[in-house]
Amino acid sequence: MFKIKNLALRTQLIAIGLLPGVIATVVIIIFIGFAQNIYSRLDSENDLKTLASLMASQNTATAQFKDREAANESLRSLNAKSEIVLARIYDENQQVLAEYIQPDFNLDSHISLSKLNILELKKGQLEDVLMHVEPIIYEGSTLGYVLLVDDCSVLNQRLLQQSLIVPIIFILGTLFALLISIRMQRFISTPLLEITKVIEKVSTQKNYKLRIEGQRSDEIGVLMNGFNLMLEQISIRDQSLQDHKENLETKILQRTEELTAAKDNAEAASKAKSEFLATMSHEIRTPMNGILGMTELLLTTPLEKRQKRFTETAHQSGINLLSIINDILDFSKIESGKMELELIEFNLRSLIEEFGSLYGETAHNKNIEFILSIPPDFTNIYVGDPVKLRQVLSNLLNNALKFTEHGQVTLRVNEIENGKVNFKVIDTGIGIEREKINHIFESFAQEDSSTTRKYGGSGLGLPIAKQLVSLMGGVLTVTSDKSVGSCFSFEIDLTPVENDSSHLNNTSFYLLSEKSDLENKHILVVDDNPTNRFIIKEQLKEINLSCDLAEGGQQALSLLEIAHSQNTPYDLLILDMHMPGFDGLELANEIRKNSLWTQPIMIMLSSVSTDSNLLKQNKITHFLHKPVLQKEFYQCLSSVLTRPQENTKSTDSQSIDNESYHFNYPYRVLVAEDNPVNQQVASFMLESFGLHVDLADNGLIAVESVKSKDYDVILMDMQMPEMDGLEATSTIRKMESTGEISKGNVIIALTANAIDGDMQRCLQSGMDAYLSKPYSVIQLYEQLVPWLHIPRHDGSNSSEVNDDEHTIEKNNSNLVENNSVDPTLLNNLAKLREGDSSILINKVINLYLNTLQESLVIFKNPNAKNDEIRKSAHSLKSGSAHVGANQLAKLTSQLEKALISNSLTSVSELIQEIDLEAHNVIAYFDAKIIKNLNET
Amino acid sequence: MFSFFSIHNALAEINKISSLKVAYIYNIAKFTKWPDATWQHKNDPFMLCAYGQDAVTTELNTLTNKKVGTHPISVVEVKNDLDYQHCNALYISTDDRNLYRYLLSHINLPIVLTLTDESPFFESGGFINLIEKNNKLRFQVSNQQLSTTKLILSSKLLKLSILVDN
Repeated sequence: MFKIKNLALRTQLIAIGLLPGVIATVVIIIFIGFAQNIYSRLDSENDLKTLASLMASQNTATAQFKDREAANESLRSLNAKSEIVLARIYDENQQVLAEYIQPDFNLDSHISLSKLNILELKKGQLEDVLMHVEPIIYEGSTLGYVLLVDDCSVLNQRLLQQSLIVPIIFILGTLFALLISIRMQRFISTPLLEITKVIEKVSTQKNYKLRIEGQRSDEIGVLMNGFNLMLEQISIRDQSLQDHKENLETKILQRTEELTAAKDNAEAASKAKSEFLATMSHEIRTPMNGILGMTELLLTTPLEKRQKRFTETAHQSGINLLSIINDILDFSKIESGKMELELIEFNLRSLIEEFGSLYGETAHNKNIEFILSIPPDFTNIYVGDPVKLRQVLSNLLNNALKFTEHGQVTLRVNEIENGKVNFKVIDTGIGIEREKINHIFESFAQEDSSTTRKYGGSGLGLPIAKQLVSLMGGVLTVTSDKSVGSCFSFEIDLTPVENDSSHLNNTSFYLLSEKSDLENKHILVVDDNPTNRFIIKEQLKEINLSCDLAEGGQQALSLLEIAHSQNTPYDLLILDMHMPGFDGLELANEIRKNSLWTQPIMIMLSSVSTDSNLLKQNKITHFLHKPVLQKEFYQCLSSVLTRPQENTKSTDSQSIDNESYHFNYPYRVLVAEDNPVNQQVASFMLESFGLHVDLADNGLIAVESVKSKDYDVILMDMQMPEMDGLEATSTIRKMESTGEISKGNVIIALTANAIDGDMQRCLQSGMDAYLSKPYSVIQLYEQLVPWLHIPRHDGSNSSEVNDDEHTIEKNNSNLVENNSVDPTLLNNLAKLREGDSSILINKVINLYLNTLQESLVIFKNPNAKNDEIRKSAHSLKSGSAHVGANQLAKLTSQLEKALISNSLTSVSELIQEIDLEAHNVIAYFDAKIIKNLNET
Repeated sequence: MFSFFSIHNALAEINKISSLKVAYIYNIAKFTKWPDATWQHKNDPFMLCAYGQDAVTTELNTLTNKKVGTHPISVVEVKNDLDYQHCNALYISTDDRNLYRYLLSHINLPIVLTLTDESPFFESGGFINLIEKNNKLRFQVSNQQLSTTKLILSSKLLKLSILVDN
């Protein structure tokens, strides 16, 4: 649809001016035309009437005297009026007295006129023509009639003329109006177009200096003024903005300078703080190492009671101080945002279970039950930060144990959904008042100051735990009731790693269980604590074992009695040592006394080590520390249930721990350390392990020492004069690569610098491990163990090893000289069991020999597939490493690699070598078995 | 004369002409206005006097009680002088010039409508004279009398008349 608003403004204005005028004109013309028509006709009629009456009055005498001539004469005067086409005068007898016919008029076309009587004519009207009949009246009497007929020709002609003129006038008028409106619209459109033009210019050129010219006093003038005013304001604003912008830049520059200065200051301050903390840490840790190491060593010397107590207190104080320092360092690290998460694979189950041994004793001493609740089907391996998780949990557990006087402390782990693990630490301690719940997460705050006095502590544990949890993407929450207990709970994202190793713990069990009918074993669990009963039941369920539960000794005895009477005696009893009223030992005693019953195997659970004689007396097969670790539990079960009854001799696995910080071989250790106190600590500790220690005061000396002598382990301090640990390590690694010295030096870093990323730097520079100062005897020992169970492989050393071995291992002195097998491993294994270990050893050897024989058959079989060979090479490799057949392990490893890389030429050579070596190994073990048998 | 004769001869033509002449006399009277003081009452009679004996005078009696204006016509045959005194219109039929003049002298000329029928003495002082012309009855009006009379002749009447100067 056509719309007037889409047109140009001038067109609109013209249209607005013109259109109504035209319409009005047309209406008026039509109206006037009609009126003209009607009035003209009326006029004509009136004229006719007037004329007729005039004629009538003039002709009274004419009619009276019937004077035709006079009548005719009178009628002839009508020829002046051309519209009168017919006139007649009738006498009183309606006879035509006189008649006048216009020459152009054709009377025949109007028959009625010629035929009709005057009176009839008077009544009617005729078409096409106007007609009037006027009576001639004189003194009341009708003397005759006058008939006048008008054919309207003049009227019609006049109307026609008018109607012909109208359009011309209309067109002319319209044109005139158009001209005027075109001229008039300029008054409005010109300024508006001018405004539009200026607006366009302003918006395209951004020139706010433009103004609309001209002055008017109407609304358009107001619009123009308004627009000009607006432009002026804009330009003023622009100007001020421009000024502001310029100022702003200088301001920004100024501020930036200030800020940069401030930032530099802050960074410098922060750096100074960090450096101060690092220095402090180092400076404090170094003497702490002396204090702790020396007091620890002092404790191993014979001391009188008082001295021992003093020393213990000093040691404990040192440990406390160290933990406070660690807390502060951690806290400042978190505060400065330097704490970063590591993402590594770790075994969550063993991480949790470690707490069992860490806190079990503390809990027992306080007479509290410490329970670890992990679902048996728990995914074990996760990706996350184990160090921080351990720190959080140990903080929470420390707290829980600290504030719990009786009852229990439970650590519960649950995988809520895949990748989300919930941790809960629940205690039955003093609890926290509701108002103070939020308060406890504040730094250096405890529930109240009296608590601090009573329980001690820096008050940093919970804030650190909270910060670490939030670092790991969780929220640490607490619910608590005063005097009832508290529950600390958090949930973090840990990515589970699904692989075979996650079930490693029970595979060993399954392998063994295949041979025996474990499902039929009848098991009874006796524990007063329902949580513990539940956990053990679940753990048994996981390996498809069912069990009966007993709350105490009496119930256990009655269950045993029932079992006996039904001839389904229990094969295995799992006893809690500490039960109210009737403890585990008493129960065991009762059972053993009853000679009628089939004696079950018994496993004793306890938080503390117990006199092994007591256990032996009651023929307790196994002893397990509470909280019971799944791994240990399964290992224990597998050994107990698969071993014949005669092995019920007490073999308390813990018993070796007391004396076990000792290496059976005097490995050579180099300690590179500048601090004489720490040198002393290290060398005392290492010597107490039965190791040979050399000292180096700095990195240079250490490198020289390594050049001249081979060491099994090098303990390298990070900060030393002349050459520091990192440089020394890289020098050694470089020498290894150039072949200057033999490869495979084990370097363990020692550092007191806890703040920086030393660990990464150590490992990057080529160190094998990391030990933070101060370190305890146990920590040092544990750090060394992985590196010191296999002697060095190089020839020069192996003879020495064998020589040494002979001096130490007198049992093996008669053995055939055989370089193929390192006996240390088997000896270590044998030492795990007190007393006669030869049967176990023989068993292991036999198993290994079987594997070896089977593998040899496969290797020699020309039809064997590569994959098959590779598999048996792999299993033989690990088996060989375990029994100390190192050469064979090496060869099979090479074979495996060769098969993987498909270098088939070397495969046959290797198989030959393996065959040769295997004979040596078999010969060695055969001799050993015979010897063992002879000994028994 | 021939035409008159022929009319005369033509059976009742004489009567017809006479009655036409009487009608003319009546119509002329009707188109004539007398001064207002002529009649005291509107019902006072219109005195139509006749002198002489001819067909017209006989026929005049038919006008008796017809009205001129509001006045009923009374036809009077004048015999003595006194009779002239009341005449509103006088029809004179005589062949005697002297008598004609005498009659005229007895009447108050300005207020009496004097009529003659084809009088040869019309020039001697008559007012209206009926004549036949082209076989059609017409009437003459004396210009002299018209200028002196107090009667008003309708213009329409005058239009039909033949004005003569005596």
